[in-house]
Amino acid sequence: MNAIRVVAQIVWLETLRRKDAYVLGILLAALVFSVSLLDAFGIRGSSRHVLDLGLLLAWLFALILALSIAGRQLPREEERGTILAMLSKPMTRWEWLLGKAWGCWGAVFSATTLFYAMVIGLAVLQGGSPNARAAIQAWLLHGAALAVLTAMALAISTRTTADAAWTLSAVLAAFLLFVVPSIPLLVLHAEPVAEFALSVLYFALPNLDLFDLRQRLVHDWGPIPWPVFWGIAAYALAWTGIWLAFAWLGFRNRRFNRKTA
Amino acid sequence: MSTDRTIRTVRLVWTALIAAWILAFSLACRLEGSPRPPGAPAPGILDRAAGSLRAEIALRLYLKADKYFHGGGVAQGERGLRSPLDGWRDRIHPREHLHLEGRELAEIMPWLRWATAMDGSHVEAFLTAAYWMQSGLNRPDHVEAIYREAARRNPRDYRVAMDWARSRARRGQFESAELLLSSALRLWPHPLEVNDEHAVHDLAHLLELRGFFLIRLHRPDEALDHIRRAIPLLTNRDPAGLLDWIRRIESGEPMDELGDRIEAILRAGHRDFPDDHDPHHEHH
Repeated sequence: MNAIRVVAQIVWLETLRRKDAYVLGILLAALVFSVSLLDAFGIRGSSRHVLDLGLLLAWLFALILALSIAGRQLPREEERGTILAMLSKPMTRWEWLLGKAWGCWGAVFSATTLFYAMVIGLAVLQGGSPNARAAIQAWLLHGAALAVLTAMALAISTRTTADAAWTLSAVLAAFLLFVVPSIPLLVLHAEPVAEFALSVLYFALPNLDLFDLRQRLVHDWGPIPWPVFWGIAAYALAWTGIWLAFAWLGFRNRRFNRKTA
Repeated sequence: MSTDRTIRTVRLVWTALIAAWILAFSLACRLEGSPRPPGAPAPGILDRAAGSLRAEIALRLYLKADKYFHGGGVAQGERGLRSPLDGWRDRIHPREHLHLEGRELAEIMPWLRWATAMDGSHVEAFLTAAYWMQSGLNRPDHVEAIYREAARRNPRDYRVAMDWARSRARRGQFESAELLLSSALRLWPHPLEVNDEHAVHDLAHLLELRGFFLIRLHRPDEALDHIRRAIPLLTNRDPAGLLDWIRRIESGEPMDELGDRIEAILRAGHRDFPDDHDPHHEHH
């Protein structure tokens, strides 16, 4: 456990040192603040659009952070040659992998928490009053989605370069977020072969739309029942475990060569 | 080091490719941009850059406003696949059909504002904003500003003048409403085609509405002429109501009483009166 924590701390420190999260945070604040100032036929008092666009940007920026942070962990260590030093320490590859996953997710979730605080704070300043329990559920399930995506990027990066991991992860994430939820409608007009293929994808891939509670928060529908919340959280835990298992399978027998000058 | 240089080169190439694609796409959209109405102001930078893409974005923004109006509720569509997770999905996305009311209607205004900013010829967005600004938010000052901008950006669109007239009539300004209706009749059917179903429906509405405004202004002969011209154009409405008004005028009922009744109906927003239809629910 100590080894896992140490690896995770290294990831956190590295993320703090890099500017990615700060840049995205500042960009988010600037964009959402600009949105809040836009004219709405001279009417004040509307805040849902601030919340809607702000949370959309929070999802987008958190996704970018998750894929870039997780996707570069192993390839960068390999490029710099530090992977050999890390693996010579008294810890298993599985512990190293868990430490990386925990560190990546922790860093991204911390940034996401700040994003949510900014967006909801600005919406409140605009006169909105988002439901607190719904906000907490939305934030936590977003974190659960990030755990799945972080593990996915980590798994892909065990066998690719950093850039390839980012690209493949981004394409797969976009597919999961935009195409998979539409499959039940697409199969209505699909040929039998395509219908079968789409059905396989629908049931074989994680349904990330379950983690998206933004519309509930924006339109004030209130929180979801807690049994449903815990069910979705368990679903996220299962998929995170599956992706970490793939990561371990890709990493456990991987050989690294010492680079010569 | 060579690896870093390669990575930088690859990123530069990708960035250049993406920038070139954006430029080419924007230029292509500009070539397919919607024609500028005569008398409309010269296109701005946004107009030139986005071309017909802006019309699509404006439509999306308008639909977003519609979704906000219905409280974000999602219409239940047919699903070709059922999953064990659909139970959770149904608890997350409610299907109730509801409408925003009162001060909550302010929430749709940003989206309607952006739709009109993206595409000034999106008259539906202007009219929807004006309607709810008046009937929901009770801000007549902002209503006038919306109609003025809509007319400035669509100077030959009869729908703006027609809706503006209805709005002023609801506020008791019958003289200016009648003038606006005259203007709308002169502009009709632009920008629609003369045999367009909506245009024909609106012509009937223009004629009967002007007829009733003329009753309110104590001009019975002109009122009768307009109402009689409207009757043959009523394709999906029973003309019995209009025929009753004709009978009342011809029988010599006092114009003051008839005018007061018309004004009361307009102010109350009765749906059975001269098609006080909700523009928000029109879908072209």
